[in-house]
Amino acid sequence: MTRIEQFWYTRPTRDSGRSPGYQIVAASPGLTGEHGFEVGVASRLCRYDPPAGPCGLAGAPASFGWIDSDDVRYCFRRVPLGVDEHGRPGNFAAHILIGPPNLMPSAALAARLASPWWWHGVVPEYSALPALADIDEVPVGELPDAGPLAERFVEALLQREPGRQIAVHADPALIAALVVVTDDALPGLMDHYALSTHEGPQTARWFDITGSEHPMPGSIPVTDQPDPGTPDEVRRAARLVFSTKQRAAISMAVHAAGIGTRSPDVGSLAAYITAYSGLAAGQVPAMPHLARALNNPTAAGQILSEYPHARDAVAAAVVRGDGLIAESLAAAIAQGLGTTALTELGGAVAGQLMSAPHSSGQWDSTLAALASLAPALHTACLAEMVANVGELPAAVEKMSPQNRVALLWHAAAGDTAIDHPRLRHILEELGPHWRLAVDSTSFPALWRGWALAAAYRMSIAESPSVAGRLLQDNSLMAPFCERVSGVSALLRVLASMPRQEQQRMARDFGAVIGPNLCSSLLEHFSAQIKSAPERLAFLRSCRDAGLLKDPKPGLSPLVCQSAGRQLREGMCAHGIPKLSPDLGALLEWCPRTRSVEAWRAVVSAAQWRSAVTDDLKRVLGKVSDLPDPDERTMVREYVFACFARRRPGLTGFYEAAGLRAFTHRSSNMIALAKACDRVIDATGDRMPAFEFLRCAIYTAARGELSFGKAQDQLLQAAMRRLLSAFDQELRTRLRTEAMYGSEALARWWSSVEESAGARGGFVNKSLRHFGFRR
Amino acid sequence: MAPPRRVAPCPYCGTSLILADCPIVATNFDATVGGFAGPRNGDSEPVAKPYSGAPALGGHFGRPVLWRPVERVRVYGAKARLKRGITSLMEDPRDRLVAVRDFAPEDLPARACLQCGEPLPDDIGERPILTIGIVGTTSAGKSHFLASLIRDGAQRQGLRPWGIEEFMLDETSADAYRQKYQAFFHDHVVFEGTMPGAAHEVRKHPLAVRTALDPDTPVTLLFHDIAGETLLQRGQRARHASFLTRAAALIFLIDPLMIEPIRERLKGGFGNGRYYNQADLVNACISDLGAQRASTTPIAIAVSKSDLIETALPGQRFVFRRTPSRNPETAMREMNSVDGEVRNLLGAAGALDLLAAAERPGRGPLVRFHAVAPIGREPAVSSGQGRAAVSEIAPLRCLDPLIHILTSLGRRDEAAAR
Repeated sequence: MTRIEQFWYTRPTRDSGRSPGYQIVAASPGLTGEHGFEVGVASRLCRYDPPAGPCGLAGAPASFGWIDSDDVRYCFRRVPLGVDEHGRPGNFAAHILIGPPNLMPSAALAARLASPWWWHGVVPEYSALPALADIDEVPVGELPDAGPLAERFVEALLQREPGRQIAVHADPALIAALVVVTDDALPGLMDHYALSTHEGPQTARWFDITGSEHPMPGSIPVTDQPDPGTPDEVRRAARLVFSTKQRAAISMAVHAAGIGTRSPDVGSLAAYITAYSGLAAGQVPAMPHLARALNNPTAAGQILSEYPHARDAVAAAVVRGDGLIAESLAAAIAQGLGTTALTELGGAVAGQLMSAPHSSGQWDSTLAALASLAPALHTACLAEMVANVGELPAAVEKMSPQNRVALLWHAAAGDTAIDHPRLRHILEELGPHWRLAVDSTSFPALWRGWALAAAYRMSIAESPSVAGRLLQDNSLMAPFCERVSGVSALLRVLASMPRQEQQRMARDFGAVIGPNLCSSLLEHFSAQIKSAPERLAFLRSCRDAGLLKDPKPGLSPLVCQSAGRQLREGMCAHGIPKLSPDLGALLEWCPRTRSVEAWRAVVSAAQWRSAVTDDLKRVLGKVSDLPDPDERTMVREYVFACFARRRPGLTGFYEAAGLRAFTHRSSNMIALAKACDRVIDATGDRMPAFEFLRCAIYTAARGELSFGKAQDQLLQAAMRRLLSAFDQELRTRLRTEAMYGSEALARWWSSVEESAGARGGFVNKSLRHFGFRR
Repeated sequence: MAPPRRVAPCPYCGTSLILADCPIVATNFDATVGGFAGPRNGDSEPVAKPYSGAPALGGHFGRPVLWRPVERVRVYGAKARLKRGITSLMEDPRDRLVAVRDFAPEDLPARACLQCGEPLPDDIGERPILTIGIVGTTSAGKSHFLASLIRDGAQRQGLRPWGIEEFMLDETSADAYRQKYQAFFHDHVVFEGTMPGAAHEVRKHPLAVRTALDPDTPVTLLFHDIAGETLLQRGQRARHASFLTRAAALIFLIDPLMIEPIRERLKGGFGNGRYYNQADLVNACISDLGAQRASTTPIAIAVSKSDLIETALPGQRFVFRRTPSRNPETAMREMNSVDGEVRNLLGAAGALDLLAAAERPGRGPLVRFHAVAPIGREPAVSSGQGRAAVSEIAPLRCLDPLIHILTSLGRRDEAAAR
């Protein structure tokens, strides 16, 4: 309904030309069709029960009031008309208004009780009435002064329980005046009540407030005399209601009690009034009053937001464990207490806790109480603690693990004070409860990693647990590694991981720890990899991942060893070519000197077997693939030096291959010569050089040694150097052998000897001796 | 004594009730404010505590429940019944009635209707409860007739000569009668017009009279004092007087002032207002019964205010203006005479439609005309006091319609028994 509809109801006289009997004699248009249901409901109000006893028509009071049903307000004014022309008594005239409650506020209706506008029972010739847009279209009538009865009336309202009736011992106009003044002092309150100034016994129970004619059993009487049974609080509140100084406080109390809303808390209004009047004066009300005021979310919101002294008192009560306050807060929270108020209260509670020494148990119990009341309250308290982390007492470190974790969480969430020693200490002192922090997904990874590291360091967390969590959440890696210094610890963790994950995790570890540690870790870890190919593949992947940008002294040998092992294993199983990519890559990566060392390992590996010629060929073939010429040379030199030093192997090599491998590569011969030279320099051992030369002579004698010009000269120079180191006996033996070769060899040898300072006659003699010269 | 019946219709809403399924509620408790729009359902209303202190098992239409039946689960077949511990194949123990008397008497326990929530009469299940509809237009004198009928029947035991030993109000009805009707006889104050606004209460608060059709057939009769305005509108009648459609018998009160020739003969300025055609109401109410029931329902059509007829037709002597004989045979003869007199009167007054309503085929002896005078005197108006009083209350022949109905019902009962 959007307008106020009205109708008149009576038993018309015969002269009116209407049918006999009670009926609606005039109605606004809206009631004839669409609002038939409301008319049916309103028809229940179409009755008038005369007062008991012989009061006469003049003494019979008008019955005025209103009642709500289904969001529709029914206002009525019924007056007795006495006897009709048939001699039948009991006739009455009822003027009913039907409309939405917001268009017909109770105070506005009451102010119009004495208006001359109301119908008095004269049946009109017409039957149409206008609908009203607003109750203001009805003129206001004169009402008497409410006088002292107003306080009694408010007392009755304040102490009324739901379902209990208030019986006002006053005439209808005074009752209306009471409504008007009460609504002025407590706006909206009267809209919650159904009122009738006069009712019969059958219908009196419909109304919250009635006249005194037929009160229900147990009703609250309102008379001029104060009721001694009225509680003091109610009496004081009723006095305050009409005090002009307390208007603001009363207004807040009304607001707080939800007056005017669908679920007002009128029962607590007296407490609100008392509490607010005290609060406004800067006082903290008594706890029971405060508790009652806090029952209502609106009131609680105001008290906690606008009155710091009250807020502090509430906070102190919470810390004390005051059950009454806790219950009230719980009720307010359940009804939707605002987050702002909760936040402020949480902060105040934290302040109270920090302002005085409290045991860790008290911290725990307070935080538990806050958590049970509302998560927001708990959060706010912890947030305040974090914000003032510098003032946190040592007791917080002994709080329950849950609270400690929650505190840490808030610290991390607020991104404040993460590095504060108190918090870090709390984090690292979680002990057996480390899982609370580590497994909390809402906890930042940094802290979780730290907590994990702390637990691991303290040997509370076992390696498998740690490994599992690191595998589960990669973000824990960095903080964990930050706090766990030492490669051995990381290696233990790696060892606890599934085999297939170890290398990946080792690389991840390496990525987050420093370069030095990384090299060390990878070195140690790769050393544990039994399979050389696997190890090399791992190392190469580390290098490709940029973890081994700058090879350290410790790593190259590892690579070299790995290479050697790979070669050994590879030659046994697959042969070198299959392993070449990783090996080549690593050799390229190792610095030159380290490459040589690597090759030493390669060669050592090759010497394991006697029939290694092909393998060595392959090795040397790979050496030739090295991009750097100097490097190639150095590697070759070293290889042959190694051959030279290990005579049996070298002999075997010569015997098996007859240096065939080198015939078409004079560079090999040169390198070999240099290698022998190096051996002589290093050890004084001339035998490798002797063997080399002898083999060279044999080879040349067989016509298999063909020198290019440049190489020839180099080779000669090298051989000369070698020869110069030999004593006479060895030279003679070589010469002899050379002389048994070809003429070309003999000639070449002579030239060599000559260049080494031998006499020319010797050559000629020899040539003749062998028949080369006549 | 016959065992209690398991199924009975609610006398207020007509719903067929399995009595064992009806909760037992306290009817004596501190009522709270409310009830203007009526309870929507039983549990939403505030529940008061029973006086006895017994725990309330929730609410039922605003009344505290003292006992609720266990939920009825259908059990199929003998095997299933045995499995559930129901050994008798003939009787489900859940059908056994919990006695209302087992509960604290201070709570005034009563079984309540599942549909309308009203506490059922104590007699329900023990004896038939018959509704006697008293129908008439506004100002026909229904309230006065009811008051006089009860006085003559219950207080003066006017039915004893007819062999009806028991005719008494139950306690609740006796209270209501005392509060509402006693002033009529004590103070000679005429009733105010029955307000249609109270119709919804009237339906639930009839006057209950314990009587018998014969010594072996005790019954409880329910009388409702409903406003004429309610009866005259079909919608209102259906809403607030639906009991008329289930009535065991109907008493129509015909207001002679609504019959134009009679009204014109009366002095005192009963002017030229608009009036209802009472035959329409008679026909409507009989139609509401349905064709089947209409043919077997006893109907008494009583011209009310018979003293006014005497005034309107001076010089004529009517049997219905004589005090009825206490000899049943003589009284029956008088009633037959009255029947004829009233038929002639109505015929002469041109109310042929009323006669036609009674003389429809199949109605026969079940319809009888009467003439009653519930007050017996014309009230004197005292406008200053807003009341009307009569110097003397002299009701006349108010029991005649009831005698007709009871004898007809008794005969019907006998026929059915045969």
